[in-house]
Formats: sequence, structure tokens, C-alpha cells
Amino acid sequence: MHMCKETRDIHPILLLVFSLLLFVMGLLFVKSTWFWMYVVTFSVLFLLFRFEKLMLKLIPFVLAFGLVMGSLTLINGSMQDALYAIYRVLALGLAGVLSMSIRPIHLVRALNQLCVPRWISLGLLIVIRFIQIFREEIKRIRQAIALRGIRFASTPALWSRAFFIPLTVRMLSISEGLATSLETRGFSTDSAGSSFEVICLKRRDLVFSILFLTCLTVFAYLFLRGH
Amino acid sequence: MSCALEVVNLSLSFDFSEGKTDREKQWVFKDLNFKITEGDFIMLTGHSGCGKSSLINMINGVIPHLKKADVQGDIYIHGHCVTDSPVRERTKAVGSVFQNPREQIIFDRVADEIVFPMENINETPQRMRDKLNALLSMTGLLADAQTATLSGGEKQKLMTACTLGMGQKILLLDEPLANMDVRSAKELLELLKRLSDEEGYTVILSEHRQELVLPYVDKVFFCVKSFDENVEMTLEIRDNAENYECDLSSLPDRTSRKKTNVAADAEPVFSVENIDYRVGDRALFDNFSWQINRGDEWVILGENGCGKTTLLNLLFGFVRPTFGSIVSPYNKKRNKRKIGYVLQNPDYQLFMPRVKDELYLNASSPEFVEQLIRLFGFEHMLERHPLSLSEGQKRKLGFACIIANEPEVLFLDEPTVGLDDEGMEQLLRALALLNEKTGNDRTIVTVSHDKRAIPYLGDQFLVLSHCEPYLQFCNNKTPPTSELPAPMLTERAI
Repeated sequence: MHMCKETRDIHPILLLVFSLLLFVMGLLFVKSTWFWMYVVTFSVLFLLFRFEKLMLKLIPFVLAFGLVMGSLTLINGSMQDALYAIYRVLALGLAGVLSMSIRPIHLVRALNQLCVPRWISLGLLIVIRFIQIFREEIKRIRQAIALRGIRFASTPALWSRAFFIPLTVRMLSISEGLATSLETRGFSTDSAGSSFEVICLKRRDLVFSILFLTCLTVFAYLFLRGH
Repeated sequence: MSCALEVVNLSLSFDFSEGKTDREKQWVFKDLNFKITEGDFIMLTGHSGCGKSSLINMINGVIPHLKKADVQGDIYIHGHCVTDSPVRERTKAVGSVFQNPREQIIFDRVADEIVFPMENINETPQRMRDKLNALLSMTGLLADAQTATLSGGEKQKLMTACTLGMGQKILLLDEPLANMDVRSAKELLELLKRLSDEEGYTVILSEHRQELVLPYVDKVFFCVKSFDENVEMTLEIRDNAENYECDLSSLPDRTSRKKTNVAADAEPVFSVENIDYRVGDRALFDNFSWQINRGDEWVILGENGCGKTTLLNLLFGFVRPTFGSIVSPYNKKRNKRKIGYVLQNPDYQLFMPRVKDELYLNASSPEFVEQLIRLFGFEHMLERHPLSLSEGQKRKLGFACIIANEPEVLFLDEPTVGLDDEGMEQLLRALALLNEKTGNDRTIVTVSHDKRAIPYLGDQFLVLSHCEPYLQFCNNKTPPTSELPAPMLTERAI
């Protein structure tokens, strides 16, 4: 019998959909005078549902990226435009909190339960995984370059060669390894496969959804009334 | 016992030159014939780059279905011809564990990785849970551990567990023990032996560390050089493994490179002072202190995942201790160049267009490079692209490039993995050459699991362990007379 695993994680499909909604709505609302209320409301909601670790992780990114975008906008635009650019980054950051909390395997299993073809769900998983692998590989290659005593400042051409050739080779090698590994581990687009755990909706998901959608509806109403 | 696998006139070539007839083509092997009965445990061995992995990949269908090659002949699995069957069809009967486990991991959690193949073959959740628990207890891995933080050996165990979970009756394992400590390797070999003896599993295991595998196998398939000039290798089958003896006589005498005049008051080059280091929730080092003096030759030993490579990275400064400090004259940026660090995977360190360019880049003296070229037999491949070489050749080239710089301190991370005895001998001779050239004040710190090489790689041993007390120092100045250097170097430690 399939058992539904008790976790504190919100359902991955809900997180994916809400993350998209939050970003799109955020972009619509950036020019509203109450945009900061929008950010504060959802930040409080996320804190209530224990997303604080991810929020802390994202703050440096939002600050840095927001400042860069604001500064770039300021070159050709007004102070107000720069503020809007920062708001857009804030909206992206809010959406990022939800999307980054999705555990890839949970998303794959939830998509499988919705009968989404396995090549799509697994493709999505590998794309997510590849970003992480890419980051690790870059770190290792930079370490290897340092070990051969090559510096970008003194020999930029050699440094670029030492960076891009191993990076290309590693990416190709990892892609080939992953493809072979998938085939030899029985992955097939023809078979639906089974699921180790069932990702189902829990009471926590319902409470989160009700609160999230209520807040979003209120802001949508404010936005429409303003127009 | 019925026949599990039969190979009939199997030939392999990567020679795609147009207009060549079969007679003129260069073949990796030609017209191989053998039968393997159910329950056989076979060791496939031979020199680096001789075609062991290719033979395994032909049986599981990776060649020619995923990697292009000219293949002739037929393969029968349980009496059915599978020559034209794709990999996913053959996977129903054949399980494969490949080299480079790092490249095959998809998920970020150990348990998810192990259950993934079981999900693919439609196992029930309950059965998956049972198998998962059994495999976790067999490998000693933690279900919630992050795959990115596993050591090389732990990743190899993980991939082996994934394959065993699928339950195919024919298992192909391509150097699964390469990064494993002796205890883990023996545990895996015992499990495979049990599966083969009691449940009729057919196991084909490719490995260089013959002395480790030999007691468990029924037959040895030895890849030897072919007499036909158009064919690179052929198989010699020894039906009775007991009559097969591994040849380690060519290794240099450890005493021949024993140091004679290391100063008793040599200056410390690395003083590790009460460091703590954690990976996630795991404490790898807790109040750990250690001193390396100039001219020391240390070998770091220990179980998989106990922090051997991390210790090298801490010494080099790639990672910083959570608490405590490492005092060294090499902490200064300009002195870092005087450290040579040979990584486990040579692919990261090779990027020049020709082998020759790679060797001479940053080389201290052309004469030393020429000596290394002769020693490693690179004469005929100097114009080749480094990445076109076999894995063993790349490893030797990566090693030669680093020592050509004549570093004052040398870090070697599993330098002999995947090398045959000849390759290992070349590597040890190169180290001796480096010492001859630059005197006895070279400091070498090596991480190794290779029982063949450990006695030759150093004369002081640091044993790391997960267990309490997790750290032991073993200073042994006596040259080893047997396979292990001292009684304190237990097999558990290696």
C-alpha cells in the first residue's frame, strides 16, 4: 500500500505554481504604492511556514543583484525607475524562496503522479541537477588552474584555455555518463515506473494555499481598483 | 549449471578509416569466444587501456548502442541472442557498475539515488524500502546523506548499491574497488561471492588490484597483447584461479629509495593546530593536530569518507578549518606555486593542445621532462591531444606535468587508481627520479588505498578513522618486508 510521507515540506506542485504566480503578480505590482506591503505580507507568511533559512540565504543575492540592476537603471533613468528595478528583483527573490524550497525528487514524483511523461519530469530534474554540477565543476577547474600556477592577470589566454577546455570536456563526459547511467538503471520513456513515496496534499498545504491565495486576491483587488 | 553469457566471434574496432577491409583495420580484439556459466565469479584483468572496459560495455550494450564502434560477432544472454538489443533491454538481465561514479549520480540524497532504478523497474514501495534498508546497511551509507558530500569511495559504494538493488542475475563491475578502502572492498567482494555461490549470480569484475580479488574468484580472464599486429589484445582464460599468481616482482625495492640524510631537526612545513572541520552535520576533524616536517613522506590512510582528500585540501588552503589554524610558509600566495598537487581526476589538469605542450608548460628543466618522457613512454604520443589518451595514460601525464615543475611539496591524491603494475612502477620510479634530482628535502603527502603502492609511497603513516579514537599516528621508519608496512597498519585502516 502506498504511504503518504509526513514532512514539513509544502507540496512541490503548489510551490511551483505559487512561485510563478508570486513573480508574475510582483512584476505587475511594482509600480503600486503598496508594493512594500506585498513584500512584507508574503515575507511574514513565509516566516510562519518556516522558510526563514532560505530567506536568509537569498538576502545577499537580492541585495547584490538589486543594487546592480538599480545602478544600471539609474544610468539612463530616474531614481523612481531604479527603485522599480530593485522591486522587480525583490519580486524575483520572493518567488525564489518558494521555488528553491522544492526538492527536485519530490517534484519528479509529484509530476509522475499527475501522469506527466517521465522524460519531461526527469529532464526537468537533470536540468536542475546540472546547474549544481556546473557550479561544482567550475570550482574544481578553478582549483586545478591554481595548481598549475596559471593566473588570469598574467596569462589571460592560457587561463581561458585552462578553464574552457576542461569545462567542455567535463560537461560532455558528465552528460555521457548520465545518459549511460540512466539507460543501464532501467530508465525508459515507455514505462511509467513506480514511486517510492506518494506526494500527497496535507492539511499544512491547504492552510498555506488558503492564506497565500487570500493575500494574493487582496493585492489583486487593490491593483484592479487602482486601475 | 546453464550458460549465463556466451560470446561468439566477438570483435571490436574503433578504426573508421574509409576503404579499409576487415583485414586491414586495427582491432581492439578479434574473434573472442567464451562461455560463462551461471554462478561464475570472474576477474577481468590486464594492463591499463587494454580494452577491459570496452569488453564490459559490449556485454551491456553501451558499445555500440551508446558509443559508436564497429562490432562483429554475437552475444547470448541466458541463451538469447542480444546482439541487436538496446541497452535498456539488456539491462533487464545485466546490471552494470561503471568507473567514474561521480558522473552518474542524479539525485542529491543517497536514498533517492538507490531507489531510482527500483522505481524504473516497477518495484513496490514496500519492497523498495526493504531493499533500501538492506543496501544501506551493507554499504554503511546514510539514507539522508547528500550525494555531493560523499567521498570517491562512498560514491562508488552508492553506484554499486544502485545496481544491486535492481537484482539482475548478471553483474558487470568496472573497477568498483578503485577508490574503496580494503575493508569496504572485502565486504563488497564477500557479498558478491555470496550472491554468486548461493543465489547463482554471475559476476564479472574488472580490477587491477589482483591480490585483493583473487581469493574470491573462480576464473581469471587476462587481457594479453595479441600476436596479430592488427589486433591489440586477446583473452587468456585461466579456469582455475588458484593456479594464477599475480606478478608484483617488477616493483622497485622500497629500500632503494629510503632516505639517508634527512635532517633530524628539519623545519616544520605544515603545523596543523587543533583544527575542527565539518561537512554539513558531519564532523570530519575535531581538535586535530599534526606536524609535517621538510623531507617527510607521509601516507594518509583510512576508511572511505573519513576526510583524507579534505585534509589535503585543508593543507593546500582550498578549504579553511572551522576552528583552529594551519601554520605553513606555503600559506603565502607566492609560495603556493612551490606545491604540486596531483588530483584524483586528471581531466581537470589537462588542457594544452599536445602532450608535449602539457609537459613543458611550467617545467623547471627540459632535461627532467625528457627523462620523464622516456620513463613514462610518452615518446610516441608527444603530438597527440592529451584528452585523446586512455585513462591510465592521462593519469600518468597529469602526474608527470606536476612533478616536471619540481615542487618542494607534493600532494598525491590516489595517484595509482586505475594504474596497472607497470604504470605504478613508472610512477614510483618518477618519484625516485624527482628525489634524486632535487635531494632529500622534498615533502610528499599521499592519500592512497592501494595496498600495492602504500609501502613504497612513504615511511610515515597517518591513519584516519570514523571510529573513536578516530585518529592514530603511526611512525614507522622500518622498510616494509611484507605487503603491509607495520603491524599498526591494519587492513581496516587501509
